[in-house]
Amino acid sequence: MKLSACLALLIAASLPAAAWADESVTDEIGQYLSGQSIQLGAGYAQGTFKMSNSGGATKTQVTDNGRAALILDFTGSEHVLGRMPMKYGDAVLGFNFGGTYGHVSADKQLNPLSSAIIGQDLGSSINGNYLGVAPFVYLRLGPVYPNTDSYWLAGYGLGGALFNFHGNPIFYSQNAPGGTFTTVSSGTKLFLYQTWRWQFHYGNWDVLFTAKQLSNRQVMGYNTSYEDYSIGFDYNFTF
Amino acid sequence: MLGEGDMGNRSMASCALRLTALTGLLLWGGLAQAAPDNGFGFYVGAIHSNDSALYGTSRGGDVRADMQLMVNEQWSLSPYLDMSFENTDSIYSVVNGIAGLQARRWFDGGMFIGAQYFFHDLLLRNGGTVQSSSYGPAFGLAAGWEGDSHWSVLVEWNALEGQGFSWSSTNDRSDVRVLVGYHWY
Repeated sequence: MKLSACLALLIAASLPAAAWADESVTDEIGQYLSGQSIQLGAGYAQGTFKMSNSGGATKTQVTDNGRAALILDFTGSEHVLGRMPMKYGDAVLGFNFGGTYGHVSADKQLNPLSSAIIGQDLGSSINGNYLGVAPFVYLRLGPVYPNTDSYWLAGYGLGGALFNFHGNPIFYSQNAPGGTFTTVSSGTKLFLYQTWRWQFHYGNWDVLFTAKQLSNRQVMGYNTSYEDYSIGFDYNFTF
Repeated sequence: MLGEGDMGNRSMASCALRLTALTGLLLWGGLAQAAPDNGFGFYVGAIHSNDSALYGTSRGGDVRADMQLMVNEQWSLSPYLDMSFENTDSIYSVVNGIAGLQARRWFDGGMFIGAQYFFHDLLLRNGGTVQSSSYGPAFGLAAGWEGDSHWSVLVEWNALEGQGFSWSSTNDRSDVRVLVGYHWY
């Protein structure tokens, strides 16, 4: 085992893990999260659409170079897996069921021979929509200040997403290094959906960094995926 | 061959490192016992990194925001966001963003040691154009001190890529950073 892995295990083992237990502690933040909520907000995001054949010899990537983006998410009620009392509040390992809606509008072509993440306007584009749902496991810490509705949360979700798209990206291959425009289209299909979230919550507001990936699906013989990275603010409507 | 701009940037990075160390020493000597508590924090400092596979060595500045959350009097957890801007010995410059969680074990006098787990994204730039993006999870170790004045000094070592954890295997980066910070509590 590598030294860094040994050190990580040593440190993890020395943490006060014995305190991890689902005790019936009154948790004001937990009570707040026992309800469901809809998050509505805006942020800055970069989305990248990718298709490649099985060997990866022919592929396309179309991005948006970053854009203002809508945040429209649903968060289900919290289920506590473990709890560790802290000086103020708790550290909670929990999960919920979350959903998200996203719109894809990318028209900057990525050329494998140039920049890795900055696309060029070559006339290609991809448009689509997706709806993702996933159980989401997270660590929540808080409150930051006593008697405030403030917490930090980070976690990972794995589920499914319905995704449809159409467009005319440029495919590159060794046989066509200059690229070939190709019309692609897909009705609504089920994709694997993964999401990562790093979030600070205060009152009804969130500051959040999210990554979303739709993948593990072949369309027109190509492995197809979409990735979206964003930073944003949203407001929680609880019910 | 290094240009005047590169020399200037390296000189600024060296100056930032010295100022950070000097500030840390002054704080260390001038302030009393620590009483860490929950609060938001902000840090600035200097960074030195090495990546034999990608760009050689780099130097630059580092900024960080964190939330210090006390588990008890001995332990705390600090989620943080960090961004460094670095100039390398090669033609590239580096921007490295981090979202992480640091655990600290506190001792008498405000001393602490810690370890962090984080996710990073390293952008390699040349002439204003992003040449590559490499990202993934990684680990690091930390040590430092925080005084009653809420000022703190933090020294970190991080192994980012090529250490068996990263999702990118094309480079082999590690870094050391010295930060001076303040917590509001």
